[in-house]
Amino acid sequence: MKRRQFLKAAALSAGAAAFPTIVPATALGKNGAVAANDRIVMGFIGLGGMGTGNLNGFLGKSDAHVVAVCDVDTDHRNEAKEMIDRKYGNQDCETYNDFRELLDRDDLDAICNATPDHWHAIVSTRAARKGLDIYQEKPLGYTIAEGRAILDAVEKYGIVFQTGSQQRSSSNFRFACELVRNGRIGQVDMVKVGLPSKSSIRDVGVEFTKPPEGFDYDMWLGPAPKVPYSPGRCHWNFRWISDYSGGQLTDWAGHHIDIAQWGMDSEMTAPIEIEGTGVFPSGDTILYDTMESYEFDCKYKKGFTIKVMDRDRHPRGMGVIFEGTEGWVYVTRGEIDAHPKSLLRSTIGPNEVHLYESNDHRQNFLDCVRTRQEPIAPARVSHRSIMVAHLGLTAIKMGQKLYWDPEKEQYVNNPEANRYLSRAMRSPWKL
Amino acid sequence: MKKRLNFSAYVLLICVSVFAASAVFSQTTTEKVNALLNDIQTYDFGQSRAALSELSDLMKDVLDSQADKAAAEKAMISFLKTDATFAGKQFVCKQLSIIGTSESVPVLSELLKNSETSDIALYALERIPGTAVDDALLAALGKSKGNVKVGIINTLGQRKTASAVKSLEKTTGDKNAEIAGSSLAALGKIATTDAADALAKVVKKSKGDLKALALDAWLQSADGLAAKNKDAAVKIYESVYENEKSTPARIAALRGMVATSGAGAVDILVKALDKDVAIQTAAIGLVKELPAKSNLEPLIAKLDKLSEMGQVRLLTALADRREVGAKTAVLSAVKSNDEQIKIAALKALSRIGDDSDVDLLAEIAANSSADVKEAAQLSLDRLDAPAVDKKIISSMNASSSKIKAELVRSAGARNIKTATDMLLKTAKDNDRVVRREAFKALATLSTPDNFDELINLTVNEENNTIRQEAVKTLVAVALMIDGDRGEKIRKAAEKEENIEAKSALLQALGRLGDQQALTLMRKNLNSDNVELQKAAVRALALWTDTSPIDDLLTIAKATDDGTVKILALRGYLDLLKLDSRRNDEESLVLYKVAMDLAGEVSEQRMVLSGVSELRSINALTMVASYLGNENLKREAEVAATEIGNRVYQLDPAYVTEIMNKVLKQTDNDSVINTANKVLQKINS
Repeated sequence: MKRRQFLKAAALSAGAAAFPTIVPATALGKNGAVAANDRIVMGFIGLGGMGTGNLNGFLGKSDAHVVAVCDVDTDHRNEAKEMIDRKYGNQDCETYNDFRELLDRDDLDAICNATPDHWHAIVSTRAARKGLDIYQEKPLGYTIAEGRAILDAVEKYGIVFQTGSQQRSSSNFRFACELVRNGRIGQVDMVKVGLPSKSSIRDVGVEFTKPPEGFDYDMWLGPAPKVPYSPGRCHWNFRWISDYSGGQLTDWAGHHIDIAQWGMDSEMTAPIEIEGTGVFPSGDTILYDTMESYEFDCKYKKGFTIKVMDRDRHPRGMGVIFEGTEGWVYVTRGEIDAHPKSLLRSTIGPNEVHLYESNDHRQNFLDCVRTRQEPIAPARVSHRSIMVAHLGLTAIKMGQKLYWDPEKEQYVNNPEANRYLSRAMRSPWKL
Repeated sequence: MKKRLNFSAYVLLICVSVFAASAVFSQTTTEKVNALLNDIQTYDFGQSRAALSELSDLMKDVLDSQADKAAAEKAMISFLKTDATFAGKQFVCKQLSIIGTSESVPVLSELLKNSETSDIALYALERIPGTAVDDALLAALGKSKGNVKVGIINTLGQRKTASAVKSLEKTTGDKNAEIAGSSLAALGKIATTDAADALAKVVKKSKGDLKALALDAWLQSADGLAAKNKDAAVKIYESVYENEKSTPARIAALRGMVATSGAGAVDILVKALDKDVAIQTAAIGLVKELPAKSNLEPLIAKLDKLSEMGQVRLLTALADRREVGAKTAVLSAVKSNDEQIKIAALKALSRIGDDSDVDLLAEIAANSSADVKEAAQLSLDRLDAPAVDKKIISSMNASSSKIKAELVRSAGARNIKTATDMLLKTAKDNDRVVRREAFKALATLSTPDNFDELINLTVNEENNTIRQEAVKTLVAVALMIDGDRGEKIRKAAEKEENIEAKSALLQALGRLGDQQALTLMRKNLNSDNVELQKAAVRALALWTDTSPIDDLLTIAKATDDGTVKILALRGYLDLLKLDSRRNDEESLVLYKVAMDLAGEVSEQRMVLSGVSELRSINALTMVASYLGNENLKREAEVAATEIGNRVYQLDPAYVTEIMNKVLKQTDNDSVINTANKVLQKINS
């Protein structure tokens, strides 16, 4: 903690903030009707690690007011309620097991969707149909089709949608991308993206037991295939099981691949050729089956390549290296480096590309809910960021070089690859 | 002839060999698939996934050959007919979802009949192309019920099975809400005119949740129809927009109308601006969707008739499109008494303005406060029309000091290299704000060629605050020098007699971490002149590494001068944080030394701030000893929880005791949160 932050933290005391009036969405008609000085009324769906982090973040915003939480784990939702009620000094926060009941409330302006990946599309498309603005965790969709469904719903209903790719709201990443976009390192033909390798499994046991009291396991599974409960399957560890996620690759694509796309101005497109290899867990594991190691090349129509690899294969571990004909830029969390070093002091002039500036990801969402401007990480961008990961994963699973049509969002002359674009949902769930 | 025969024989031989090799490979793959399927027959959840992993991997080879695919499919079909475990069948259905063909349909149809296995059957069927699947699904539809039926309907929708429309039209009326809802969604996805007609009927007669689902599906069918039957799509959009109450549905319809109306879209949006605020907002949001060359005059004419928020949104939308035709309206909005409108207009000007707006923006930036000032500055800095840079330089001469300061600031922000000479002159301006901005801009724009002049400017600057700015500029430019960066500054510092000017140059050397300047620093530290001592201490406190840390500690202990002692102690604490090679116990010893020396509460707080970054039980003990100190308890609480969060695994019982002690006394929300998190981690 920096000295200033330390002293600031020490100076804080409870209940000091004064809040503007709460005017529920119903009084205003929803869909962007939040007036300038009113708080944005929010509901939270999914209160695990990321959900709680987001809740903490939004509770710290004077222009947001959280009125309801939903989680299929009674402990999670009760803990969240406790946090909220303590913050507001009342007992008003409502709790829900079924997200549909939360979405049926008529006082919401926006929701935060931090459910596991396999739930993202169902929750967010339903929220969009209700006219609710959405802050959703990355990755956008469990499959490319599910991401597309979210994007379509968001555009169709004029929803403000922010993806939790918060690196975009960090000046380091923005500056690195501006250097690249403005040609400071010449022509960039290669971008190397380093993401985490092996699954970071939390040891909570993998024995198959009855779901604990207060945990609605069938609802947790939702659209995913029916399988017996194991504590190692749910909460944090869902990321390492392919029925629910794509492992570290899809978990982190919304960060560093997203930055690579931002820097290369390829946010609205995707690669046309994808090829690579990966290592899946051997049979010793009884639950976890997502890739532990990987490397794949994504070639774009403009001629450059984004090479995505796990940290053990990347020259700098985690982060993004843009390699240009006149230098390079490396950026990761808390660090930016460049060659020549003088680039780091360069100023982006008025005639140059200035990227969207946000220094607070959640505040950017709240501001956009009011102004109806597009947030810094909208669905149309995050759809393409995660698309890169899905394409790589499919190429590795199939062991083939794949050709992709970014406009049609279809593989070229490969009907089998196209089958990977979506997955049937367990009844009764649908988009 | 003989030669040709030999060649043909050779080619034949190669062909036979390749075929034979392929057959062997093919057989090997198939055999492996069969062997693995045999293992998977008894696989159950919770057992080793070895065979599953191996078969998943083998599927790459299977996909390479039609023969292998056919053989693997055949084997999987046989597998599904056995009494293999549910887990095994679920896994096999996933594989069939990729390689399955119409051959798999009969066995999957059998699985579809059973509510326990219907989902895994649909998992495969949904992805298998061809009418055989559609026919099988339709045949099963009438015989199924409950969730099985819902699943089949959902799959028909996903597959866009047009032949299912009649059946689905019937099931929209099912008493089971899931079946009815799924049928509506499926019809929306199928999106034929028949499907849209069926949905129209439901929209008319339904209400509540079903109506909402029907509206969404109807709109989806319109989206699907738009490319092939635009008139039908437009009819749906217009009907929803004009007749329905649902705001989200009307917004979606409006978007559809705009997307399908070509040049007529502007008029649609103009009319929408007269509707309720939600529709108005949506209409403004759709401005970005209008074709590039649309005539937006009718929209711009509505600007000043909108609400404050409406004006802000429309100004932003026009700016995003770089709608130069809106310039007059934007300039008018710049004069608005409403701050939000004014700010939006200023921001818009950066996108559509030119050199003729420079003076206006500089004047507003100079004479406004807070948000308006910031917006005007940003706009001035971002104006990207030709001749703006030239205009900024030329206006510097003719402007008042306040405006000049803004123009100078902007020259730096805009990186106007041609402004350097002018800025070196303005760094001598009579107005100190102008001088400060000039030094800031010069930090960006100067080169080593300007270094001598910058040293002179620093030495001759009389205002202490601005001299600090000059020092930063000096350092920024020194960093561009190859070789001995501090040389010129050292020479200037040695001969400088004015203490304040000398101090500034020493600080520049400190910021550079110039090792060759340490002798000079020590000479001044040992001087009898307290002011020279202060200058040296200030410079050493800025050092970029820990080289002078002992010098600072020594003087902090030895000096009788209170200011020198405080400056030295602060510098010592700052440098303490720079060394990452020292372990935390060693650092703690150094912090304790600092605490013993710290006479003032503010210094003691700084020590606690430094200790809070350590990972050490002893550090926790040290900060905990201040929890009862009325002057330091808040800082001690923060430090204790920060350290506790790092060391709870080393001594959970002790950390629990301290966290509880903190919780008992604190009213700081952030501290309470951290302490509770630490306790949760300990107890989980």
